[in-house]
Amino acid sequence: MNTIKTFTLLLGIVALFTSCRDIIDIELDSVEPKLVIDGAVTDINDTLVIQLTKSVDYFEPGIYPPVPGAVIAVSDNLGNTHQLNETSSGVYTDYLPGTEGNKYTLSVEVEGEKYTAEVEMPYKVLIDSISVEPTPDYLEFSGGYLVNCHLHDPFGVENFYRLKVSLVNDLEEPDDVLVVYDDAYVNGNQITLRWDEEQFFPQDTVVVELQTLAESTYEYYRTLSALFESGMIGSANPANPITNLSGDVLGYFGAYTVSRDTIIISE
Amino acid sequence: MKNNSKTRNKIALTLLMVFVTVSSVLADETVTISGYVRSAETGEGLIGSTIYVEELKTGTATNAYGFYSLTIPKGNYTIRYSYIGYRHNQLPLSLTRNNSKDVELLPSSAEVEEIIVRNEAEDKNIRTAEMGVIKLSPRETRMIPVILGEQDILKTIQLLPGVSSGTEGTTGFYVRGGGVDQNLIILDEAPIYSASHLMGFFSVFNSDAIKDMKLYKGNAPAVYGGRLSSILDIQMNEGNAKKFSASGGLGLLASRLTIESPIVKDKGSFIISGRRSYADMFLIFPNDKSQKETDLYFYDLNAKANYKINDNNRIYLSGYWGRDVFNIDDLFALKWGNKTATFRWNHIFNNQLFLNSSLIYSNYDYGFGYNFSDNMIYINSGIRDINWKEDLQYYINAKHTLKFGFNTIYHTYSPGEINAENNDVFNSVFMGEKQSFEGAVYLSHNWNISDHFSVNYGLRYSGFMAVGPDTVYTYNEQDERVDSEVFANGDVIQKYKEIEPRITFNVIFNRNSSLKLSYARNAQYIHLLSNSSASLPTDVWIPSSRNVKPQVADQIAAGYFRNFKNNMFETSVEVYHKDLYNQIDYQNGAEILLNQDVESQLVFGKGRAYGLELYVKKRTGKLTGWFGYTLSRTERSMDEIENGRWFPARQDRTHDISVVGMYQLNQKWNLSANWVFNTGNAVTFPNGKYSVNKFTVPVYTSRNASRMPDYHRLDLGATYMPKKKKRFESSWSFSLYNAYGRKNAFSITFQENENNPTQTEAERLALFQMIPSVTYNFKF
Repeated sequence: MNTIKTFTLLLGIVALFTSCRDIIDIELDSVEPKLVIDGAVTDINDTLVIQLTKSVDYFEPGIYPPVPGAVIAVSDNLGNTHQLNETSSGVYTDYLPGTEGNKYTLSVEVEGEKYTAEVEMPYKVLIDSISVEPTPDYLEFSGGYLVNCHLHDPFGVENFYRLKVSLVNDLEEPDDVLVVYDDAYVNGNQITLRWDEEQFFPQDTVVVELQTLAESTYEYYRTLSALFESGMIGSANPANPITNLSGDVLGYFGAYTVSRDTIIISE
Repeated sequence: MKNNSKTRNKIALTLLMVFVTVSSVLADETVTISGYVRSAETGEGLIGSTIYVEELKTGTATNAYGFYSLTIPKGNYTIRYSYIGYRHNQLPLSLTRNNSKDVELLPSSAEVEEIIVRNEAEDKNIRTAEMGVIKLSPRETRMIPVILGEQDILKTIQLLPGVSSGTEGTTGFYVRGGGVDQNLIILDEAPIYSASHLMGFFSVFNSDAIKDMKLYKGNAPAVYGGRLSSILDIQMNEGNAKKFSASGGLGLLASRLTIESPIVKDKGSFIISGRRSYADMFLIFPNDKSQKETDLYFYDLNAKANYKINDNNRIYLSGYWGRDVFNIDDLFALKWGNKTATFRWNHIFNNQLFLNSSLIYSNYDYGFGYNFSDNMIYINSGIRDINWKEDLQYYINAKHTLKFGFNTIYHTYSPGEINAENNDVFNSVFMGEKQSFEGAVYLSHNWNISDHFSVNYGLRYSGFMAVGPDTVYTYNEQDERVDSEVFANGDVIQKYKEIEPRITFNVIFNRNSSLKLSYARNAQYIHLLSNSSASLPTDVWIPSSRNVKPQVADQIAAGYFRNFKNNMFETSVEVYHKDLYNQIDYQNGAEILLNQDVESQLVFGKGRAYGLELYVKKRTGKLTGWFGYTLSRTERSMDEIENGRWFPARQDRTHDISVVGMYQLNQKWNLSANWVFNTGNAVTFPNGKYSVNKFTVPVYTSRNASRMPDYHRLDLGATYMPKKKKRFESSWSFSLYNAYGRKNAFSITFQENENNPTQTEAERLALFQMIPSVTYNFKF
C-alpha cells in the first residue's frame, strides 16, 4: 500500500463572480385599459374615498385616467346606505368612519357594468410599545437603529397585520414597501414586528403604524407584495393580486383599523 | 374501468403465451455460457458490454452488474467481448456443455482506440430495441468545460437533445416537455428527491463516485416506473478489487477525495468518496458585506462495498449522505440533504436466471429557519421511503430475454412542522405525516425476431394506496373545507392503479441503420409542489390523494438511426408526441409551505408536448463531440386558468442547440469547447399597470405569453496531463465559462424607476459572465 503523499494546496486563485443588473428594452403587448377601484374603510379617516381610474400600458408614464360619472354606494349590515359624491373627477367620497365588526358592501355602477365587494371591519389591535435597537451588521445598511413594534395578538381569532414605519415627514410619501403578517403560528402571543426595511438615526421622529387588516385586504396585500419580490427567485406565475371585487376589474375594497405611535430616536 | 381490465387480461394472456412458446422451443442441443465481464484494471463489472458470437452473428450484453448469459447451439465459436473504451477480447471456445466464463477487459489508450473502431459494441445504438436513451460515463465527459471546474453529469445531460436546462447554471432539467419533478433520479436504485446543491447550481452527484449513467426519455423498459418523463439511472463505482488506489481533486469550489481498495482481492472491494465545498467564498449575494456570519457550504459522502460470497452470490451495500448548510447569522437558516442506503443481493439460480433483490432506504429533508419577532422559527419537512425490489432476468436464448419482478415502496411524507420549543412567540405546528404504498409488478420480453427485426415489449401494472392515520378534507368551489373524515392507523384512504404498456420495435435495415418505433405509458403517484421560478429545496412532495389524482402520460416516438464510417459517426433523428393527464398547477397566490389545505390551492389539467431531436456524434479520432438540436413545443391547459386555453409551459423552448467538441492536441493537452443556444423560457410579463393605495401594481393578462431573451453561451476548456510517474497520474483542468460574456437574463424584474417613480422599467439580472477556473486532479 502506498503511503499517502502530501499535496500542496493551491488556493491562490479566487473565483471572480460577476453578477450584474441593467435596464433592458423589452417589447410588451399593449393591453385594453381596465377599470381600477381603489378604496378602503378605516377608523383613521372619517371620510371614505373611492377612486376610479383606468390602467395604462406598462411602459407608459404612470398617469392614470380618472373614471367619472359612476354611481357608488356603500351599505353596512345595520341597514345604512351611503351614496358617494364625486368630489373631483374619478374621486368619490362620503362621511363614513369605519366601525369595528361592521360589514360593508360596495356597489359601483359605471360604463354600463356593476361591480360589488364585501368587507368586514376588523377589531383593532393596539401597539403595546415601541423599542429601538442598533442595526445588526448583516443587513445591507448599518450604523443606525431599527424600530420594533410590540403587540399582544388576541387569542382565538385570526388576525392580519400590516406594519408601516416612516419618518414623520414622509407619512404622505408613496409607499414602496408592503409588509404584512398573519398570526397563523403566533396566535395569542406577545409578538415583535421588526421593521428592517430602513434604519433611523438619533433625533429622527419615527411614526409606527400598525394596521389590523380585514382578511380579504390581507390577501390582496400579500399577493401584491409577492409581485414586488425581485431578483434571484421570483414567483413562477405572477398574477394579479387576489381581490374581493366581483367582475372584470382591478383593485380592491379594503377595511382596516389603525394604531399609531411615535418615537424619537435617541442614542 | 371494465374496458381497462379486459385489455389488461388480454395483454397478460399474450405475454403468458409468449413465455410458454419460448420456453418450449428450448432444445437439448443448446448450451449456455454465462459469467461476468469486468475491468482488468479495477475488477469492477462493466455495464452493457457486448458479447458477440461471430459465427452466429448474434450476441447479448451484460446487465447492471456485469453479468451475461447466452444460450446457443453446441459448437465451436469465436466469442468477442467488447466495451467502449476497452480493448476487446476474442476467445475461441468449444461449447459442449454449460460454461461459466468470466472475462476481464483492459482499458485502451487513445492510440489503440483508433484501431479497434470496428467493434460490435459500437453499433449497439442501431441494434438494440431501445430508443430515447442516453448512456454516459464520467470518463466520457470529463473534458467538457463546466462552471468552476466542477464536473457534473446533470449538466452534461442538459447538452443532449430532448433534455433542456432549468434556469441558468442550475442542475434542474426538463425531458421532452416534462416538469422537473417528472424525472426519477435513482442512485444505486435509491430515489434522490432533490438532486441539487447550492440553490441548484451543482448536483449531488460527485463524478468521482459515479460509474455509469443512463437516461430514458420516457420510453423506459417496464422495470422502471414512477415518473412521467424520464428515468435517470445512476450507478455508483464499486471500488477497485485489484489494488488500493486514491484519487482526488482540488477545485475552486470544492475538493474531492476518493479511496478504494480490495477487501479480499478479487472477492470484494469498497470505495469511499467525499466532497466538501468551500462555497463560503462563493459570492452570490453581492450586497452582503458580512461574510463572516455567513455559512454556505455543502458536502457529499458516497460509500459502497461489495463482496462475493461464492460464484452464485454477491452482495452490495451502498450509501449516499449529503447536506447543504446555508446560514446568515441569526436571520436565516436553511439546511437540506439526501440520505440513501441500498442493500443488494445478486443471486444466480442457474446460468440463465439472474436475480437481484434490493432493500432501499431513501430520505430527503429540509429545515428552514428565519427570524420572526426576535426568535428563530424552524420549519421542517421531508419525505422518506423504504423500498423492496425483486428483479429477475431470464436469458432464455440469444433471441429471448425476459425480465420480471416487483417492487413496493412505503412512503412517509412530512408536509411540514414548526418546532417551537423554548419559544414563547411561536406555537408549535405539526401537520401530521402522511403514508402511502406504491407498488408495481412488471414483465418485459426482449425478442430478437430476426437479423432485421427485434422488439422489446412489456407491461407494468402499478398501484398506489394512501393509508391512515390521516384526516382527509373535501373542499367546495370556494376552497373552503366542507367535510372531513378521520382515518385510523392502517385504514385505506384511497387506491389508484394503472396499466402501463411499453413497446419498442426495431427494424434493422443493415449494420448501419435502423428505424425504431415506441409507445409507453407512465404513471406518477407523487407530486412536487413548487411555486417559484427556481427549484428550491423547500419545494414539497405530496402523495396522490382523494383530491389529487395520479399523473399519467402517453408517449409515442419514432426514430431513424444511422452510423457512418465504421461507427465513427453516430446520428439519429427522433420525433415524439406526449400527452399528459392530471397535470398540477396552482391557483393564483397559492401558499404551499405549511398549508394544511394545500390541496385546495391546486388546479388540474392536461399537457401536450411534441418535438424533433437531431443528434450527430463523432465518437473516435482526435476530434470527438456532438451536435444536438431540438425543435419542440410544450403546452398545458387547465380549466381554471384562462378557461382552459392552451398556454406554453415555462420550459417550452422552440429551439435548443448544443455543440460539444473535444480535441486531443497532443499527448499532454486536450482542448474542449461547447456552445449552447436556446429560445428563452415562456414567462408571464405584465402588460399594463395601475395605481392602488399609492402602489404601482402590474397588470397580468395571460399566462406565459412572453419570452425571456434568447440564451446562448460558449465555454472553453483545456486539460493538461503531465507524464505518468510510476503509479502517480495528475492533470490540470482550465475552463472559461461564458467565454464571450453574454449577459444572459437569469431573471427580469419589473419595477419603478428610482428617480422617477411614474416611470417603470425592466431590470435584467445576469449571473456568470466569463468565469475562469482551474482544477487539479490526481490519482495513484
